[in-house]
Amino acid sequence: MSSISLFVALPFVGAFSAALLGRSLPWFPGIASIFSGVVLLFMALAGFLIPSLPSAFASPDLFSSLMLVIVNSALFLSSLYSLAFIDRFFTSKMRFYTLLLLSFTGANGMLLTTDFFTLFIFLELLSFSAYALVGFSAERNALRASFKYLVMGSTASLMILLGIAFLYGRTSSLSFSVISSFLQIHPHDPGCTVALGILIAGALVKLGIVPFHGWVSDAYGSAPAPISAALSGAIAKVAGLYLLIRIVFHIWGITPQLSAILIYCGLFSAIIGSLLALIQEDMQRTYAWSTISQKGYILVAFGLATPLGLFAALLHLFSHALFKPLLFLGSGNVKYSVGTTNMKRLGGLSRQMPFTCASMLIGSLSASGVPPLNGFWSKLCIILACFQAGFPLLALTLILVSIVTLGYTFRVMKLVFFRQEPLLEKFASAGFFQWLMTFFWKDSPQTKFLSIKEPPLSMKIPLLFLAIFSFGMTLLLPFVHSADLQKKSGELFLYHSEESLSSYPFSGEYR
Amino acid sequence: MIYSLSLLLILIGLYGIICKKNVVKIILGIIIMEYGINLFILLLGWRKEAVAPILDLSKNPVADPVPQAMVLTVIAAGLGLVSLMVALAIRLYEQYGTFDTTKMKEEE
Repeated sequence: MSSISLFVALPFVGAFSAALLGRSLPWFPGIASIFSGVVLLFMALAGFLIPSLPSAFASPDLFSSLMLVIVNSALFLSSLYSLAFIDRFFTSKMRFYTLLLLSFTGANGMLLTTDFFTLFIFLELLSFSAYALVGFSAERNALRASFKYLVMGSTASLMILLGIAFLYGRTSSLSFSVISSFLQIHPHDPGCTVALGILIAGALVKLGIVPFHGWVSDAYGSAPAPISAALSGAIAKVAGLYLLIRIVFHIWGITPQLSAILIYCGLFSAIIGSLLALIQEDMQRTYAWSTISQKGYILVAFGLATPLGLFAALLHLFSHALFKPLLFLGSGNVKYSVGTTNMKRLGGLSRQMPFTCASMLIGSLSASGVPPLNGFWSKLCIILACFQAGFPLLALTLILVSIVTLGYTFRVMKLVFFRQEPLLEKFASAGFFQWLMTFFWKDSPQTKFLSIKEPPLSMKIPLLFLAIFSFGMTLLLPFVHSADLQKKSGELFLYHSEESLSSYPFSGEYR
Repeated sequence: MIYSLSLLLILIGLYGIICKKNVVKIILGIIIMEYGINLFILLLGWRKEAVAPILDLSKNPVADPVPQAMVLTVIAAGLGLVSLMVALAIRLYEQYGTFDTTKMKEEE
């Protein structure tokens, strides 16, 4: 067993030991989850940054190792954040952490397999725990959101299974490389084309892209904040985007038709997601629609299929994994301190929660692509790639959507942090009355408002971490040889390479 | 063709998922669709007059064991899915007092 198997083994063992020991040692599940997050994050970073490491550490390829970094950082941050958050809102830490670790087991496993059936099993493991985690919330409509997610997600899983069955029927193999070489010989095989269509539909449902986006706003809007952050930052990306990119780029090879599907789906979700984010009343729901919009950007960049486009897609994938969890966790901080994320009932929090306000400001600026931050670089690359590929209108639309993004992120900032508290506003004119009131009315809006405090340190560290990295990515960029990276990411996607696939650890071939 | 039977099952399941408003019926739709797909996978491994490929030294055709192993795994995963769905349905009924999804939406 090479050490790369730890990516699956560690969270899996963690999940079961958390379930067994969680009752007698209440602190154990959280510590186990954070521990596995830290260890795996360092392993993933080592595999990503130092490609010349011995093969026990080296990750399969650039895309997988990038996704491993994203997934394991999300595991670390969300489990650290949940320590205090769960104490406040829920009773059972044990169940929460068991499900969290199981879903990350599935995500890590999906990134390391080379055959479809193992991928399907890990996908199911990931999805089941994600459905249950969405239902964990104390929100009123959480159960309905969880059921909606469950119905759409399991239909998508069954679609993917049907596609795999078609592929097995035509190629009598489940391995990526065997299917890929079969398709190079018979590119227009009818059974495989049916399978391609079904698989793409299933993957798009799992990702939550516009024709199939029904579950996203409900699920992310009512899940606990760390779960929304983990789902939108990492898990849904693995379940949908990773599967889609593997299928489209590595197994079939990109064609103009597939490219058009990716670009149109991406474009429509970028537009619709950002427009609907403008009219939401709930913070978390705004960011849920924003997730759809940002995933649209990533999909457009992948659809361009030029080396610069692929580089831009990977960059935006990474920067979205930084700023969207930042925004979700920030709204979790508001929920923790005030008790609601409904923007009608929030206001003036910049004085009470300066740290949360500052870090969410960084997240908002980054999401809307304001120059010094990471979101700017990735969006710039996407727009340049659109021009380079000869789609100036597409580039223009994406710039406009980016301006809308600035609109809805700053709408949230203004309503939550930079305006007078709506309940206090009524009393603001009567200064003496307000002063008098603090003596006689213990639960007056003002005393309630003044008692709002920043959440504990364990909920601030993840935000600090993400905010620093949002800046840090900019400082790193001059040192990155972007031409070299472009070439690498171009080669990675445009060339069918059997060696790159056979170096995976779980390459069990059934035939 | 027996393959069309599995297709029919998948379509019945899909109809249940898309058109029905009752939580229990949606769950049944998912289960039927899963069984249709399982049947399809099993049929892929079927050979006429085939025997099980266990220590078989004769020249008889052997059945493909991979789809059977796949279906077994999918059934096990499906059991987990069904129990999760039923647990959610019970919680939904406790919260809303109905299985009808349109009524649930009206209550919010």
